[in-house]
Amino acid sequence: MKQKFSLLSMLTIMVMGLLINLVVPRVSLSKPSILCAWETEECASVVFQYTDRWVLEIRCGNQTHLYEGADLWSGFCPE
Amino acid sequence: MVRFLPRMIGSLLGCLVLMAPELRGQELISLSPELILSGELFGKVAAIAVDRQGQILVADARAYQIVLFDAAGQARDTLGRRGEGPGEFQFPLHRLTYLPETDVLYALELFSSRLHAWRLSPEIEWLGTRPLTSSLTEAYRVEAIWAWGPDSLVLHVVERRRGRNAHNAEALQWYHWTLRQQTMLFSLRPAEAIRTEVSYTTLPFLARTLVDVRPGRGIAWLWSDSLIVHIYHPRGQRQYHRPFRISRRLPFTQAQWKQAVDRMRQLAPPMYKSLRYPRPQRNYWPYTDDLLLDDQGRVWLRLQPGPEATSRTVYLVVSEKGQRQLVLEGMVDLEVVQQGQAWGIRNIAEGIKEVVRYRLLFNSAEE
Repeated sequence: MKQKFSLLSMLTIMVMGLLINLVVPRVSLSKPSILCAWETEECASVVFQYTDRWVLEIRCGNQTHLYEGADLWSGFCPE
Repeated sequence: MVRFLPRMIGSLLGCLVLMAPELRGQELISLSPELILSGELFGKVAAIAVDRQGQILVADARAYQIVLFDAAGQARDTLGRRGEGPGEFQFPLHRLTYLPETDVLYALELFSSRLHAWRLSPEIEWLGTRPLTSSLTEAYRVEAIWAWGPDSLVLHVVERRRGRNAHNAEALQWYHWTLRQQTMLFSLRPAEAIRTEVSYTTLPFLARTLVDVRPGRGIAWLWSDSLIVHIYHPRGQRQYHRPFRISRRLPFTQAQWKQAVDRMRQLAPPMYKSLRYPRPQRNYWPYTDDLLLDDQGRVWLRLQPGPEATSRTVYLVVSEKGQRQLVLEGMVDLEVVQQGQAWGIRNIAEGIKEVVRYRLLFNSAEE
């Protein structure tokens, strides 16, 4: 009887864990914050900061330049 | 000398054979603007649209506003301003599109993919602001918009995937303004890019899918490295092709590639200044880097003719009856061609752009 109960509680915990994993986002990787944005004569740039990486996007007419790196952006932020 | 004569004659004949199709049946037309909106009026012209009265709407990316000019070029009003609120721009403006049937103007922001709409008459009325992506990210972006019907637009959507060997996804989608819904229209071949472990770059000479949409005429697209424009009519579900000719093809030289690498290094953040970029396999002159569909069903293709610095812009105008070349002074990006007129943005100096209008010397009756 005791064994049955512990098995049941283990299963419940596992199912709950799975459900929580599905419902609650694990790490907020999908929503970056905008660290800075600036413009030069030809280009517009923006730095996205995610929890574990940064992305620099530069747009010059129909050109796109993307650079990314780990952790926090350590480059230039003109504003 | 005599020994080299057959080779010289052969080369000469070869050049003539290469040049002949380019010259034959291709009328060359030079145009000068009939109206110029001076670059001094704007911070940076990003896009233009033309309404049913011939009024010109100019998106100023630096001033964060749209300026309305009458057909004679007099400034009449402004739309939007910098800010976070409704009808205000968080990021520079990127695209404009206008639907004459409803007199509605749409504006797309760069980076955020926020879409704004105004009705232009009887009074200018802001209709709403819609985020076209669920969150702010560099991985999913609306690159271009075209008004299609009273409540619908066509979106060019690019989904970027990370890593050296990852491939992007590109597609055209319908957007229903009232329902705020996006539905798939069809996928596009994704643009070629220069990828490293930490960077992703698209450059004008790399092949990409060029798209233009004109209600009533259809959706035109072209893989920029090919010689066939596809045109699709969603209403009748008809598709046809419009081939065009470019007779010479010159490969990129190592010097030209080095120039592109220098430019990429200039823009790269300090920690990536010495990145090694893999050279793409296929690059040729000339290449097409702009596509327009006009109200007569003609296709306009901008040709980048060669590596030599030039102060002229060449558009190839392709109709059912043939093709001709249009030469414009300066570096011009045509945005709207309709009712015998063409409107474009012309670079006059580094960072300074003016708006130009041309009267076309040919129309459908002449063809």
